[in-house]
Amino acid sequence: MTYSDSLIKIAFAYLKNVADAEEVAQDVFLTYLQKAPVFASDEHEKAWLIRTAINKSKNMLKAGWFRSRTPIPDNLAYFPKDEYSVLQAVLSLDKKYRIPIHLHYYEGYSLEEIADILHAKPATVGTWLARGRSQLKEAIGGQAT
Amino acid sequence: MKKKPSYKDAMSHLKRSEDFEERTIKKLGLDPTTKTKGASTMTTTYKATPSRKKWTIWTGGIAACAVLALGIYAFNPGNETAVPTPTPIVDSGSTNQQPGTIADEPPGQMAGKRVVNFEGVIEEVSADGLSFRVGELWVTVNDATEYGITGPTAPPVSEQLVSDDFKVGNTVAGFTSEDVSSGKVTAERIYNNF
Repeated sequence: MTYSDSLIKIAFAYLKNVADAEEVAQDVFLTYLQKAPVFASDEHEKAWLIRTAINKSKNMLKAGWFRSRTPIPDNLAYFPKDEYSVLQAVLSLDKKYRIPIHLHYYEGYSLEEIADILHAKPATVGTWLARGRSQLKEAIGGQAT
Repeated sequence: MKKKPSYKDAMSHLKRSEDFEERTIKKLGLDPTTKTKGASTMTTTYKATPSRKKWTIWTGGIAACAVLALGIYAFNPGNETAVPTPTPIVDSGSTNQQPGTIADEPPGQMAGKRVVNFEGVIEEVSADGLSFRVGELWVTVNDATEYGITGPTAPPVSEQLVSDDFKVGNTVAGFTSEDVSSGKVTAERIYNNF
């Protein structure tokens, strides 16, 4: 359960819903128990869990039941106003941009590490980050980091 | 100076459900009493979830159906349907029926086609040898009359108990498409004459 927060947050960045994100995190732990993978390091283990959470989030987005429903929006009123704006701005980005942004700015992964997790080239990840940042700048100006 | 809001700070405020850990432990089938703070409570044991049980039941059911289908196919090779050879039946006890004929009733459920509708012992033969009487029925043969049985398993006609020489006392069986109750018919096929 050490990485449960990280998994819930990457899944939330994908699905924009805490309950769904928690379900994905639970599924990831279930897969972990079923497959019992062996890792060279804790970082390797965390990267595997995040990669699995992303895959499961993608699958959930594609599921018919998920697409056909209308979930109750999360109550994020407890967020400070400025941070809520930043969060909404990131969540409004295309997932192609917001996932690298989340991995870079929240998890602190480098371009190469993100490329490894997302199975993409570092240059491609750099492009996604640059475009995401550009769109964020347009949305919220220079008020956020 | 006011600090700029950051995505990391914003995401750090995101709260998960209070019972997330409890629900997760329950879902994973782990024993919550073994949980220690900061340590992973995962074990290598795995308890089947309802969805897994459902999946197992479905898989088992489909496998059973496949085995049954294969078994049925194995006992019925090809698409041939079983058509039994019709057996001639003479109901001599019927009061409405002429001797030597077979009741004109619908074939049984298993009969594919009725091929014999007169049978008996020849009691009289005409002078030209082309007609004979079986009971009250006069049967005439002509050039179109066929002799013997046919089919992939039938022996040659020369080996069958049939000939075009009709004699009194011979046992004869045949088929006509005409009405056997009329008393006089032309045979389309003679199966036996011996």
